[in-house]
Amino acid sequence: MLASVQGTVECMDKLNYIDTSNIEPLEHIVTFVNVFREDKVKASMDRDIILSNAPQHEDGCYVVPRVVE
Amino acid sequence: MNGGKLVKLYDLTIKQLSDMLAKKQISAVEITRSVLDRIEKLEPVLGCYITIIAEKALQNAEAVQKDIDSGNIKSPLAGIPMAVKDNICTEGILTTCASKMLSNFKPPYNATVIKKLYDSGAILLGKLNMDEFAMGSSTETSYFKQTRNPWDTSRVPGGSSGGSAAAVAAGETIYSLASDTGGSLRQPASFCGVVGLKPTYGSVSRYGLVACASSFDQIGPITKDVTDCALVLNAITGKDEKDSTSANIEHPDYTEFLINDIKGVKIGIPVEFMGDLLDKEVQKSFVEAVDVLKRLGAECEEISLPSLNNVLPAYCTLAFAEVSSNLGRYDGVKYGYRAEEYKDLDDMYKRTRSEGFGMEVKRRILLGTYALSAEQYDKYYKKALQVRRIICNEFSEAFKKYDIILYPTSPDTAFKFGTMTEEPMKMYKHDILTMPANIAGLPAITLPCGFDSNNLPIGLQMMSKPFDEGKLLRAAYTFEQNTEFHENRPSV
Repeated sequence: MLASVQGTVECMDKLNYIDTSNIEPLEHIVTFVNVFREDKVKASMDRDIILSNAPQHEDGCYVVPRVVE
Repeated sequence: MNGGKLVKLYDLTIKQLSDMLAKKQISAVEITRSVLDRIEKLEPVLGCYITIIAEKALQNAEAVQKDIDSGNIKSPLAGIPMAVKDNICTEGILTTCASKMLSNFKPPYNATVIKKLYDSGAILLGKLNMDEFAMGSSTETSYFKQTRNPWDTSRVPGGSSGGSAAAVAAGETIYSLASDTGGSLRQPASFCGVVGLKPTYGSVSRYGLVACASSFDQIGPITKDVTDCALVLNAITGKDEKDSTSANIEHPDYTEFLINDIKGVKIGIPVEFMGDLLDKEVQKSFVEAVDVLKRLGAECEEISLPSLNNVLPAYCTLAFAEVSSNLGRYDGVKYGYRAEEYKDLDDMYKRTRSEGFGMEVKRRILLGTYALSAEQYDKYYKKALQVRRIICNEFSEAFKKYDIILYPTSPDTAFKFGTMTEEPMKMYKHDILTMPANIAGLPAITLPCGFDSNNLPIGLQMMSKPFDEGKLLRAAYTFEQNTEFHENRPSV
């Protein structure tokens, strides 16, 4: 695992030999901005359906190990 | 007439079957049964599917046939069986991403593409095998099984959408949907001798596609020919308010581009992707394909796109960074796998992720997290974003002069199992010809253009400027109509 990760980092290192002066980073290739929809109240998905995929749930909540003493 | 009984229905195309349905020569149930029989026969050898819903498919076929008879559904996809890659959400049907992490996950909703296909009367047969979370080029990283190439079962089908491509080639479905992040749809389509199209980024809604690298991912069809490709594209494209990156444009009827004429079309062939990079037999088939296009009136010439030399480091950095961020959601709380034993919350996260993910997924999460870390961000991630712009700019310039950029889909034909599993860099490099379309968000199609001396398919790749799928379909259709490669079927 370590060797293969190292090999990929070496490949990524090649980026630093490329001249990128005066080039703006391109975060996303789509050009549209501010994609809004109407702020309308809609029913969301049924809670029991959502919870049916949870590894552990109780009283309508997800169960996780205790995080506060 | 009962023509359906005489021909192998599973071997036919959407167009052929749809015409037969319209003439009442066959029924949707007969087609579905024919494909299910094929699945039963070949699945033990090929292993294309993770989940098969035979009974449900037959019930749906019966219901859709009634809708066809009453005139309620008129789509050419009505009554045609199909299957989808197992990273596309199907309500109430397992969607595992070929990972232990999601081995029990039944989505509470349908992906937009699934809803669109259901509305068109498509019959879902099941979910197709893939590399875990779409990370791989051979389908060997699947947690569940190997998928074998129908042309030679000692070889991989390609990946990550290996199941989607192998199933179409073998007649285990009439067509399929797959996803493409760095070539995951096109490379297996090429390895299996079928047609695959990665649409422009934003053409097809990603809602319900389990995210791999969100700024690269796109869903597209794998079909037996270019006509079918246009038919499926018609059904799945369009703006979706549930995916803010889906483009608000008017999509044409893509079948109108199925025109056998390429005269005057300007084709650029980048020298960076020729020569030693390609296997000799792939190179030979490619040169012959270029000759065919020239003979048909296309104007082909060599061009130079120097930034293609920087595709691999840019792709690895950006795609893995997005992977590491996207896969943070698998924490064993809301859905998916949770470790059986743990001491506290942190330990639960660690064990869940250590046990739930395979090696390739872990490798990419580690690399992506490193590239995004505060100390390395400028050196890798930001730099890769700049290189991404250079690559995009170079393509934009090229498309001012050329209609199509052409090169092979893969440097090699299907390789044997285990050849590259120990050498991830070699595997990543193998996708170098397909990565540019994802980096620049361009549409790209692959179609068969030859066979090597082992009778393994070779794929030809065409790219065009964004939202110009019509031009691709026209060029691909012309090539297909004047060659016979797409008519070959594996003898599995």
